[in-house]
Amino acid sequence: MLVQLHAKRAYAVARAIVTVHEDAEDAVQEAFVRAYQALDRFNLDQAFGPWLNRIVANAALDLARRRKVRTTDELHESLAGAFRDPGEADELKRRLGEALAQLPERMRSVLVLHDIEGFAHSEIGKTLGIPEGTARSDLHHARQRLRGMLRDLRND
Amino acid sequence: MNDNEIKLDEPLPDDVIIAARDMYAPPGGDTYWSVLESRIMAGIADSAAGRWWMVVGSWARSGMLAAAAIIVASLVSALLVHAHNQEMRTAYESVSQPTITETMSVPSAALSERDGPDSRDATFREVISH
Repeated sequence: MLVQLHAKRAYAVARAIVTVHEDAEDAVQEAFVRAYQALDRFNLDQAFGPWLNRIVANAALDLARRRKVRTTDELHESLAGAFRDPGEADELKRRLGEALAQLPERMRSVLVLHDIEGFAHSEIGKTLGIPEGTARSDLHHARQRLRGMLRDLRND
Repeated sequence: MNDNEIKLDEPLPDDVIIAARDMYAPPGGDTYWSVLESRIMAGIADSAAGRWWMVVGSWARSGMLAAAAIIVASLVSALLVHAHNQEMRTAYESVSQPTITETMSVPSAALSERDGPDSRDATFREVISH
């Protein structure tokens, strides 16, 4: 079944953009509904996965725009705290969550999709609707900024 | 910065990647994915039902318009038939009923009766005085 086959990948794409688990679930559901409604426009000559990923990314971006009212502090907390083991103070995760939250949305999405989810640059470009070169450039800048923000932690 | 610098970009340290993967890890377990799949299918079913209702709604709107047109047409034809009948009745009555002059030709006896005893006395006095 299509949903079963693509749900995990779709979740990864959504999560890279909206960062919060519950929002990622909402985006995935919305994306599958949109895909179902647009199925008659799907070209059978193309692969279904990238087409769906693009819809997921758009649904996640729409959701992220609606969530813009969320304060930066809330975003830090959601990134650093959502999957943190409450019994263990994990400084690296906390700082990493804060650093990721400070990255521009597209840069963070590219970094997460590439370094965490293992997407290729061309795949990221298609998913986010940006040129492959832009995805490469965004990844470079995202890594650079992240290193800068975590420098003091790594010198401890 | 040029393309070479971008290509030679160093990946993030392993511990950062591991921590990030841990933070972004999707919930594990088949149960979670089954629940999410059910939720997605429910969303699709709602959407399909919504589209179905939209189609039915458009049909209903067309039906309502057609029904309204039929009602208006029926009313207009009923009015036309009523007007035609009225006209026919007027024409028939004008032929079958007596004319005004016929109606006015009342016999003189009836008239004198209608005048009453005072009128008759006055006439009598007038006659004998000559």
